[in-house]
Amino acid sequence: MWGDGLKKRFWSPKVKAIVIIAVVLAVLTMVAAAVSSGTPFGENLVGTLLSPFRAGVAAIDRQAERYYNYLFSYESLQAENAELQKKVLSMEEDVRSAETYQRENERLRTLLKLTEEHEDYVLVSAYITSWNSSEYKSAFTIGKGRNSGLTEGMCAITENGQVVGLVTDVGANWATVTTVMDASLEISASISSSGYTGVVQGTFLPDNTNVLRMNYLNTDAVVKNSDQVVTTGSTLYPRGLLLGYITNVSIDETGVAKYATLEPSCELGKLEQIFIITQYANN
Amino acid sequence: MRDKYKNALMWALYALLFLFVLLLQSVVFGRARFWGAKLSLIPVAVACVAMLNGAENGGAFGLAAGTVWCLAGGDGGGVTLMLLTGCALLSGWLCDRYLTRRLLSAAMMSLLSLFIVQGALFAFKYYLGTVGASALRLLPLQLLLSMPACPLIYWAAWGIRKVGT
Repeated sequence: MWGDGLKKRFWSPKVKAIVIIAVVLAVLTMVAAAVSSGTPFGENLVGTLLSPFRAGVAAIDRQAERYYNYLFSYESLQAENAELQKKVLSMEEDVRSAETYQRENERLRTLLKLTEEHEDYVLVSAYITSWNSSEYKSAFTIGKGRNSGLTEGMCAITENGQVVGLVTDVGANWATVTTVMDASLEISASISSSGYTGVVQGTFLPDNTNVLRMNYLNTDAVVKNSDQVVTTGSTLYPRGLLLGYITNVSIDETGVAKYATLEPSCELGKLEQIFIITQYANN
Repeated sequence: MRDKYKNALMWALYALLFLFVLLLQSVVFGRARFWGAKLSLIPVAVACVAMLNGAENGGAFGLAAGTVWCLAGGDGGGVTLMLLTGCALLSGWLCDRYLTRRLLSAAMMSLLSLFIVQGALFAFKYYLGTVGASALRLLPLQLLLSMPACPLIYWAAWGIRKVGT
């Protein structure tokens, strides 16, 4: 289609060099990602350099969002506040009766010599500085890294103990957390009420919505909507952390197992701060 | 000497523009989905800079941008690196040969780059089985949503270009 003249003009020595460098770099990065056990040097360097910028822009973005909400959501906040005050009054009554149960519970716990839940956790808090902008990946970067004791494979949770994801890349002052909604992450889990086990994984549905699915459930499993799904525990994450609530159950594509669709326990899009479990008793 | 200084300043400003777009895409709009699609501003920035600076210089910028994007943990890794370099070379060459360096050309090159980068990334993910064919519906939406950034990035790149000439 093109004449030789045009071909020559496009394929100048400089253009050829650029193409060759691009191919070599692309191959190198792919090989480094495949063979490297940790974060490759180049990625660590760029991530470390970008980390302060990301943290700065994220802080400005958070402030701007708060200011915007203050300016434009004042009336709705007032209505919400009135509604919440009503709820507080009703909850105060609940608390009074709950306190009775709590005292009873405490006595029973002492009786059974149960230890306080999760007191073995050592947590590092971190703010989210940026999100992966891919349509098909659910991951974000946080402003803490190896300097704060983080390593690959650590579990990220919310302040309420809901699983957010796992640390998949760590630099000196940054780390990438791949969330439970990402298709690359598989977490062994169980239904807390019945004990049925399965594997929880992020999945894209045909209508492009990203949902959490619990796969490989026994076909005999009796599963109810709103049942809690928790982690079964592994070398990467402790047991008993909340992953989500069951919303639907079906037989999977193979016909030999069931799967359940879950509603994630936390709203990932609204997270600002997360906590990384750096140590826990692996019982 | 003065020309060299102006040239160095111009490329430093282009690097800052790229950093700004990178942070805008990953930090400010990183978590936001509009009707299910996310913004993709990097191909627009690469196309705008490349069409103003020609195939060779633009290609080098695309290569640098692709490398930083890849090392910053951007989606597609090495594939995106090659795609951004290719789009920069193509945009620069088309503007060298056939188009004038104006906003309309920038819009055409941005659209072409977005289509190539996001289309190839989708094909790559589809081949790997990460996404279903129905996710293709997001591609035109993403292109449509990302294009309004083109005039702003083009004018910024055009202003920077004037520093170097």
